[in-house]
Amino acid sequence: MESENLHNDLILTEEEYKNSSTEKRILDISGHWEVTGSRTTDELHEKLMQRIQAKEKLEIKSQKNYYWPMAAAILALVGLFFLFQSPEKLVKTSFAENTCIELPDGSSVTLNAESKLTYNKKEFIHNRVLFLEGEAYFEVQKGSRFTINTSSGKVEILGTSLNVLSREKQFNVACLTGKVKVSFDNQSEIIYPGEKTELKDQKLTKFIGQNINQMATWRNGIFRFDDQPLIYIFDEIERQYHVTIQSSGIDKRFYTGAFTNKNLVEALETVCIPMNLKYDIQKGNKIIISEKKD
Amino acid sequence: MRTKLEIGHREAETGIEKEAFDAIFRNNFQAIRNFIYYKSGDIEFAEDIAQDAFLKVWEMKDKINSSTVKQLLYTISNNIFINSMKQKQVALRFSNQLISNRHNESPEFMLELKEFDSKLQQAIGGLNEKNKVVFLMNRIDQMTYTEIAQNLEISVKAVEKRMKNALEHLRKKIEQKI
Repeated sequence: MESENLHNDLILTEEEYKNSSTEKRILDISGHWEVTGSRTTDELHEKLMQRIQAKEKLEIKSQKNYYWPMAAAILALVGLFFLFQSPEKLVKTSFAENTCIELPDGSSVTLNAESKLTYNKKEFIHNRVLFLEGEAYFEVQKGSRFTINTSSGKVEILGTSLNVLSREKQFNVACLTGKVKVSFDNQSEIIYPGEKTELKDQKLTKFIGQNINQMATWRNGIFRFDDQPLIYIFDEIERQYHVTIQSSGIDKRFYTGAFTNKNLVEALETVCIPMNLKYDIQKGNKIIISEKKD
Repeated sequence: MRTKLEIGHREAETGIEKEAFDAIFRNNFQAIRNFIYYKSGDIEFAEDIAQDAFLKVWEMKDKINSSTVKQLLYTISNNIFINSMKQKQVALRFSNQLISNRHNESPEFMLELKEFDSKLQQAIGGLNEKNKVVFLMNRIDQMTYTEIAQNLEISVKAVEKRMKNALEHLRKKIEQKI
């Protein structure tokens, strides 16, 4: 077809033009038309990149939270409490996300994935109290009492760095520097650097002689577990990689080890191999973990 | 053209990386800009709409397939254009390389070419939008009928028909004035 001949590099000679039909002339002449832009493609590309960056800074990531049903009631109460005060500040993280914030008193908090931190922006300087759901690492400035409330219990610090994990039934606190007082129900423990508390069967249990270098390593992408039920490890893998793990029956066994958040296959290998398990990665980010039957 | 936006689900790998997006932008921006220009006659407006369309594609880059992104760009930009409710259509104007780059022809011939070109550009304004867009995509964006059919999501036969109608109309208009 005539008009499919696109590449009009052929320059019409006067002769050819005179002998062409109107239709041929139409095709030839229009074949040399160009649209003149007001700005160059490069310029517009640059502008688009700027718009994208601006948008991504403002974006608040939406969160898919497993624990809402559990914590909702408590959170609602706490939320209400804060609501009647002045501005409530909320910081939350989504899957595979880490965030570090500075509190009004100069203390800093690093939040692990799927975690939520709430505090009163105006009052915090005078009354250092906040509510944590999930896991965070704190570096607390010396000063008045610093309280971290969780749905399980309370953690009070005086000029310290510590790791607090509160998810569903888990309530683990590790002290890296300074001094930490942990309360659960009517039990309480004071822990020093290299010590930690965990909730074992509703009892606040203290462990001493821990390796401080192995505490809060999740900040560097290494997730450590010391004699923990597999279900907690699988939960953390789900959070870090945004996958779902199906593991009926085997998740009550205990695991000691670590996995990385940089490579899913490597992470699965480090957990499954020592436990004699096999994993099967399926479509839709679903992983099935089961016993390896020899 | 469909005005409803549909995203197809394919078996193949979905998602576009950032480097791929940059390449998609550079390769397709002009065509999308031109497409909206053909419909509106306003070049700045067309550039803005084209940019918005690419932004939308960026925002869903994880969900789309690189093999269908061209079609998506046409559909999205068209939707944005329709929603913009831009009523006034300004006359299209094109630069002609044939005329601006030629110096060694006789002045009479150059004049004749200029006149023809002017008549033709004016006649374009009388085309209905469907025929006009297809004609210009073929002549200016240098797309084959198959490419046009894919981008606008119509049949090749439909493209052929529109080209034929456009040429018919243009020929009549030009011969009228001669």
